[in-house]
Amino acid sequence: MLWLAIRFPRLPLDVFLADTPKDSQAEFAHKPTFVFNHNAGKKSVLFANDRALALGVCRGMNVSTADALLTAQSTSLTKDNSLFSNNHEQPQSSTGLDKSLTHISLGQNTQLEWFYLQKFADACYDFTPYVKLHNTPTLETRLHSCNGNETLDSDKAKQTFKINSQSFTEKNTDKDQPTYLQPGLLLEISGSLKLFFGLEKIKQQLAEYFAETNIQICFGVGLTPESAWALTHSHISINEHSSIHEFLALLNNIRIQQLDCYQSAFKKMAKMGIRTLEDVFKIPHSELGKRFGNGFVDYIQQLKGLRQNVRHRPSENHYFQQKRDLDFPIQNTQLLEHDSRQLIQQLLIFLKTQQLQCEGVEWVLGDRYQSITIAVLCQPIYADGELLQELTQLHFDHLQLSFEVNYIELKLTHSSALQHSSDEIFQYDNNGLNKNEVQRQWQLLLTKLHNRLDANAIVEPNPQTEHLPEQQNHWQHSSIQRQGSNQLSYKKTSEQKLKKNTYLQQDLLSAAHSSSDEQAHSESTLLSSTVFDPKPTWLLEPPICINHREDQLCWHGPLTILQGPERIQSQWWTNTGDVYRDYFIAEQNDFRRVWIYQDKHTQQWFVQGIFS
Amino acid sequence: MSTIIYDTSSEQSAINGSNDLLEQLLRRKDVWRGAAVTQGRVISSKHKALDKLLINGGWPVSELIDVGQKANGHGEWQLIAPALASLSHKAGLILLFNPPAMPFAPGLSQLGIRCDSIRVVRIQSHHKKAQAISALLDILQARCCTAVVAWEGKLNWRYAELRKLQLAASQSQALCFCFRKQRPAQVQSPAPLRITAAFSVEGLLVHITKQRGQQRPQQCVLARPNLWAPKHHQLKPKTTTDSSAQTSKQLAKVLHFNRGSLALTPLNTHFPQNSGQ
Repeated sequence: MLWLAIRFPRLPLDVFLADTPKDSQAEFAHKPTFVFNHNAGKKSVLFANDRALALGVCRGMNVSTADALLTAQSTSLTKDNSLFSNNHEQPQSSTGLDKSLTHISLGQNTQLEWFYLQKFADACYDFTPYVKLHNTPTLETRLHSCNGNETLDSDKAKQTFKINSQSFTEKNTDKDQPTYLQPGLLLEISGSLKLFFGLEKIKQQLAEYFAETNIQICFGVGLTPESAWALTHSHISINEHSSIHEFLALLNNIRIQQLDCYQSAFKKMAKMGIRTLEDVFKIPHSELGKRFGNGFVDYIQQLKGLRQNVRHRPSENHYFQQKRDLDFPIQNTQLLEHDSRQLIQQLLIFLKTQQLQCEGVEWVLGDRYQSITIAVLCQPIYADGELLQELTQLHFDHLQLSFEVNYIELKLTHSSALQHSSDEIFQYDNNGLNKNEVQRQWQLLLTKLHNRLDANAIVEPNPQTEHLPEQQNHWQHSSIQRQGSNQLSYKKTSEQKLKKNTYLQQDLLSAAHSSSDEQAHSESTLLSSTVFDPKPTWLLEPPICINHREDQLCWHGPLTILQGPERIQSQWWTNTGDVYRDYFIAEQNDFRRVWIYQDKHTQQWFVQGIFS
Repeated sequence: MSTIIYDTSSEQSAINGSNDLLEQLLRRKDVWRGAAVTQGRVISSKHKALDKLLINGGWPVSELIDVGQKANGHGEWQLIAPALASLSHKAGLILLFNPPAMPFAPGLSQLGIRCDSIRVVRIQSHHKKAQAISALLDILQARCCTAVVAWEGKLNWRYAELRKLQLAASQSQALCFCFRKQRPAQVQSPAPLRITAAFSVEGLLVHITKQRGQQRPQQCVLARPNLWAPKHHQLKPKTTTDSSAQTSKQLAKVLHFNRGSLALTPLNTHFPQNSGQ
């Protein structure tokens, strides 16, 4: 594996620059600017630009001090956090920048940082599916969702973003003075090197992207995420052809003070005179474990590339909910078609951008006081909006609205990652069908039938290797396949059943062949009776009890027995009691033939099948 | 119907256009052309006697085949099973719509039908008639079926509904059977092929009341599958060879119901294979 780390050394400041129109960006460059944050009730400088640094502002400085210092250079109007609001909204456009200001002070906007980090992660997703956010800022307020369509609670947003976020281990044990950790991105790119013509090309494309957005970055390349992150502090980079020795040589030169995790451990080491990772690597792991714990040893091993974490493909929460207010109140559901079509179009765009397929949606029709919800389940839909529209209309047609609807809302409730499946292009029969096409068309039909009738209305055979006819003839509900996994499992189970049946027949055959000569006749008779005894085409469930008058059986007229008996004795090993039946074929007056049996325990006669 | 407009300034092009339109019309299977028979795709019924009577020598594909029966159980599987058996081995599904009972998979397997290609759509009492018709239309329009076999049951299809089914069937590529209660021949049906089937002494009596290109009604008898023939024919020497009805009566005498006599014949007994436990 090869990891590319992208560190944003001054993201809190850069996001303001990136969010400012280009014509106003010069203001930031020419005026001393710093970003401050709140730490334990104190406002301290987090980042300052080159101009501010030249005038003596430094990181950790009290904001009042920084203001005073900058004001002292020339008369200034301190506008503490007034230019860009710190009330968790997007910063104002710099078109309103006051030219008379001598310097700019900005409160850290974690919301904006999150927004840009997610944006960068989405951009990196073009290169690899394995993208992780690293050292993400703590989110405290409400913020916008990925697509910016709506506002989410901070908890929900945290949940949304947390999936992609990563931190290696305990970052900071110094609780009194929490240290700012520079955020970044981690990309696993070993699978993308060929596609993008090498590591340098990927770095070049990424560098161009970030240059356009005025974000400063540092690249690091390593065999593990930890080493790649550590190597963002190195000016020299390895490439995909570098040897492990070159990689370790670069790591050896990294100063331990630059590392942003296990800072307390590294501080202790610094007091012991250890300066670089080379010194750390020389210490035996057992010694490191005794002093700093096993977690620290794991971290060192991961730095050296001796240990890899399991690579997880990032999963994301996808959320689609769109609402349309109707022009006028509607009670006739047929008039909802236009609005529902519009919402489906928006859903299709969302599915396309997120590379998802829809497996179920929920419609909400409501007014100010009440609403009703209609769930529509379907086979995976990616671009076929007509099917979803048809299914929706099908549900709406059966709907009786007791109130006038003011709005219609569409929610995506069931979705899955888009499955690209290969298909055969030559093996089609006269009907233009092959197995995959049949399966696809059947799923379409099944979706319609499930919505039109119900899920229990459609069944398919699921034959069982049982002795009793009613147990043999098992039919299961046909279900809509999700993500192609069911298809495989169904295929497997069918094959297993087929094999099982084959084994049963083989057993019978082997039993017939292996038996002694004396038994051979009876065994072969048993086999022939099992395989060749005529079986009816219809099975009546439950069997119908038939009457007999004196010596004559009657079911829709008198019955004449033609053949039998075929004895089935089974279930004697169960607690429910054994089944002991003699089956016969009988004929009715109108020449229909039926399959009847006599229960030998109760002497009662039943009709169980019809030869049609 | 499109209107043909003749324009003196472009007479030739109009004539060409009218020829095209006529050709289009004549290509349609539902245009009556007197004694001439439209060549359509057929699937052999695998009954020689029946294939001889059917125009083009088999069941017409993409047409509704209306089968009337006195009651359920009068040879529906015997009639269609050979054709379905060949279709079940191809890509595509066989859909049974509103069957009177559940098919018995081992029985169908004995007739050569692969059961894993069968799907059953059950119409229950709470389903409305319109729902059922719409579902059947969906099935006929689906491109996954090689055969659709529908039973009218209690749905009592009217002419207009049957006409809808016929139109949907004509758009499909499937063999479409529709089993209904037998009605007098005077009661019209939009199905291009209309037959009745009933068991008789000789076997399954099939009466073709209507088909395109047929002058007068025809009938044939299909013998019961050998599989269903009683084994006693082999065990007991036949005393009479006149008709199967007499055979049945003879057998009835041989196996006249008697409680004492039924508790015997160990030859055909069927014991579970895992009884060695």
